[in-house]
Amino acid sequence: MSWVDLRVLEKYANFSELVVNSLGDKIATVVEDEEGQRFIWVNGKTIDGPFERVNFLQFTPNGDLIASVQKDGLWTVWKEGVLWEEFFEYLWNLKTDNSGQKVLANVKIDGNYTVCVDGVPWSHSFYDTRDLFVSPTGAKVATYVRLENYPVLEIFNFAKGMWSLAVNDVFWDKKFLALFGCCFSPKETRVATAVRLTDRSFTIVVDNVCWEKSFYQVWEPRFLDENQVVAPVKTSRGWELYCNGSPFWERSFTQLWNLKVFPEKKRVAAIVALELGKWTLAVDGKTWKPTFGQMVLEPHFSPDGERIAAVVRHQNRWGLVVNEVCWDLVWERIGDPVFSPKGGKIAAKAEKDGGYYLLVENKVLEGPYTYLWDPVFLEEDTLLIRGIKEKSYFTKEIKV
Amino acid sequence: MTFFEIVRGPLAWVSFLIFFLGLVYNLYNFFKKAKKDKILYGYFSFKHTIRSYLFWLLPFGSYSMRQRPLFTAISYVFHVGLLLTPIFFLGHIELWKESWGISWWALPNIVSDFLTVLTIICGVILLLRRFLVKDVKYLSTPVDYALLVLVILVFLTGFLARYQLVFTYQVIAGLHILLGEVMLIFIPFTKLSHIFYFWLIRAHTASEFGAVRRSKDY
Amino acid sequence: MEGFVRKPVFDIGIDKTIERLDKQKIKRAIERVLNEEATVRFKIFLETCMRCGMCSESCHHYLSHDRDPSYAPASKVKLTLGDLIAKKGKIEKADLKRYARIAFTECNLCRRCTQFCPFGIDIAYLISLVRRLCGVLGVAPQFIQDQVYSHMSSYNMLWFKQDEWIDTIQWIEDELRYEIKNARIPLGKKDADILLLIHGLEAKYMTPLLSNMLKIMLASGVDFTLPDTDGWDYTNKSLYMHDFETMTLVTKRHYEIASKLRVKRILITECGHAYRAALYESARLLGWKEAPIPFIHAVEFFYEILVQGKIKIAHKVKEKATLQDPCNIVRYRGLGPKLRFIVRQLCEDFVEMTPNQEYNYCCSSGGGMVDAGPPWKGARIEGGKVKIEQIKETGASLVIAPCHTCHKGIEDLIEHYKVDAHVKFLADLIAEHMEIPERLRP
Repeated sequence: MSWVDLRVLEKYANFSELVVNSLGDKIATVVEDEEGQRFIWVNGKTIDGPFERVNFLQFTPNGDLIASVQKDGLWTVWKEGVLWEEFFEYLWNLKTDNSGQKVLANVKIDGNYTVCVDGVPWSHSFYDTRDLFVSPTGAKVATYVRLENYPVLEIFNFAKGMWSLAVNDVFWDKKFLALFGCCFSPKETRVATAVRLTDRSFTIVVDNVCWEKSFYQVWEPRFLDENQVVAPVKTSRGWELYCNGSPFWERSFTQLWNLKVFPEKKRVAAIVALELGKWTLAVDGKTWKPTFGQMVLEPHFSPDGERIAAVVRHQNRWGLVVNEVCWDLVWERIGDPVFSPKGGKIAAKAEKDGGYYLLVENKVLEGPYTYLWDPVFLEEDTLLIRGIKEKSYFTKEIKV
Repeated sequence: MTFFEIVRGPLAWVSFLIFFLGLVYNLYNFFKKAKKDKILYGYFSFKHTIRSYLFWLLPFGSYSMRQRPLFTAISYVFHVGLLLTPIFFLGHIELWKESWGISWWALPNIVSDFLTVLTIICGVILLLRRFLVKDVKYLSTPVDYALLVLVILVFLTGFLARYQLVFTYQVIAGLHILLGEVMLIFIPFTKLSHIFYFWLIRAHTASEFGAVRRSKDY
Repeated sequence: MEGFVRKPVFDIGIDKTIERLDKQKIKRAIERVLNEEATVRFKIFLETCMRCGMCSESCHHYLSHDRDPSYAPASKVKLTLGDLIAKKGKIEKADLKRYARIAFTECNLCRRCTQFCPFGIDIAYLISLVRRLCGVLGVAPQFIQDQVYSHMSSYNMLWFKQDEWIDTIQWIEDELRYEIKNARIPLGKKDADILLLIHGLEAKYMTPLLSNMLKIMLASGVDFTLPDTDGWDYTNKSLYMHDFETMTLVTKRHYEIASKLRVKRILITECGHAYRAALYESARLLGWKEAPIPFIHAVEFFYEILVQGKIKIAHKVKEKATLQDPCNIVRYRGLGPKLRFIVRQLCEDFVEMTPNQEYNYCCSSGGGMVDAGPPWKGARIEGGKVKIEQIKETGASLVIAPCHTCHKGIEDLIEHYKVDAHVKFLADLIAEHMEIPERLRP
């Protein structure tokens, strides 16, 4: 159990959102003095600065603190006190791979746009880059790129397509009206994305090769394995799940999106609407019994792929649904479900009347607190709570 | 069989049958196809539908009607005559009694006569309006004129038959019945179908305007 | 077409696109829109119209064009879908051109005619089908198409880049500090109460308006954030060309950001079309029966913070003021009473236009007419004659227009018809007239 008094932050002219690491032993933020200079603040002390600005402050999965910082009008990445050598006109979408080793961002250099990974910018630059994607080990980095720079109002040129995808500094030669939903195969050998073709129809592109069929509309695809890509597509029947351009699930839906794949068992979970305002999950083609009026957020697989949980909203209250069983729908806000290492338990933070609570298997174990971050399972039966209480940051381990 | 016997007997059967079958077919079709429309059933609001019916059935109940008082008055009288006279005219009820042995309350003859004349006058004004008012003329198609003429003729022949002013009773009454039957048959298959689509469309628009848009459709 | 006389207007988005189409493509689009997408409503509406003319006088275009019958709502249906059906779908390019002109530039989809129809026939739905047909074929005013191309790839209306967004907000934050002590505008803050989305124009050309909105947010002390990525622009111009694919993509993004940040509500500034799209037009297309997360308009927000005393009006507006009821938030969502509460709090001398609230006339710029750009400015100025008469009758020198489209539309009308008045947003008025709390004074 550790405590950090947060009242010390009030002596600064300003401070931004607080971030914590997964072990809970560090809490950080950006503080500002009266002159508007920014400093990086960790556990009660400023550790670096001044900077003109600090954005995207975050802990990487392995516990390093990173941020984008501005000095003399130029931007670079700050990682545990070390700056990248090169500075940029702008730097945003700061990210890391799942291990936290690789740090990457979109950058602007001499009016052009590209990606910079661990301080090394790509050799190609583009008229624009949007959104940044990184595969789990960081083997692949992708961003949407704009290959043409027609002036505004040139609609017949826009209609030829301007956008493409660049993966690890190589860009696809095909041009599209739009791209969205970039994703990587489980072994990170391939890349797929949804695109809008120049005839205004939609399809899925895998490693620069389009599916043969095109559709009224598609949503974000996912890899089932290295060779199979599933995606929701809209046909005259409604929304259907297709795999490599052919029907995969039998029935059609009013809506079908937010695919999640568990590659080891080749399971596919998706969020579906059976009719207007009737939302549920479909897992391997079978829909769940309980339905929800407002929203079901993305599905989450347990580490063994057997349990599936999703955040749901019904009659203006949030809750969780786990393997067709609905938890109490009483919350004004609820965090994503967190599985124990073996998948036996699910924990989540939730909020009601301004107080944050810790839920484990639908039971309130802790709270109310001023704030809680998502809980972390240290072991199958040990949970780490990170929160704020009486203007102090605290952590606490509990047995569940 | 004479002309009168035909229109009074088999044709009456045929016309009622076609009217009812047409009506059922149209409604069946509507409710079946409405399923594909995700809005119609999903957003139906009983409360707002009733509210809307009330404001549109009461004379000058809607803002729109209040903006056009003269047309509203004429159209209102026309429709009241059109609905009441055929059902509550004593002569018609006697025919029902003769054939089926059923009867119900009737309007005094003087009232039904008055209503008939009023309906004819209003019908003629509506017809003239179609010819004379610029926007209505622009919109009108030959069918719009024809249907209005048909309705006026049904009432005119009815009135003439009652007082036997021209031809023999059998001829003029036969003509009246025939035209009435034609009108009945036309209802499900022409714009006259508005007599039942009114309720369905209003229900949809009332639900959208009331429950979804929190506003008024009247 | 008989009785359809118009000055020729050239718009490459309509004329040139149509030139490039072939008959097969047009046929397929008709098949898709009228047979697959349109429902039973389409046929029943057309069959039930008795051509009584009750809708004519509801339409500001009809009234503003000296009651030219070809501008009557029912005529616009007759000249488009009626014509298409009479020709059994075998239409010429000239027909399509006429349909596009009527659907995009002679109807604002304000739905006033629906209120006037004895049957409640939704004429705007029928005109929407025409827009959808055009939209599927890529036929729409060039200026609207430009915005839609931007929306489909960048989720904002004006090709704004991702870095420009963050940079703009942080620059505004710096500027705000001259007026608000230590002003801070959170970007991408998780678990905030309110996600504020803004109009694309506010980030580029109308930053003073955005500053004023942010000033009100800060003064009211609510817990809010803006997105730190695409989706910050709530506009959804694809609604105008009924490009449902882009429209749903944009709406999906907005609700996704909100659910990812776990905010309790989404708030937008003073706009009309985006409110309607997010609440139902686009939400329904996505499978939502209602807004899945409360989606509130600045009018609702201002009402709330005034009622709760989170902001106070320090001194009232002295000049005579009138109010434009934007169709999309009043006829389409009943915000009229809340709007009046705010205006009465703000203004000493408030006078209503006649008619008002849900019966108010459209500003003649809505439904994409202002977005159709310079080629169609004349059309909306002509169609706005009724509106400017309404304004003149009030004798007000200040017109409050809580909608970007109404604001721009009325500004142009005032300039063209040389009326001695000016237009303001609520955010501008509130920011100028509210009390800045002691703790926030520099």
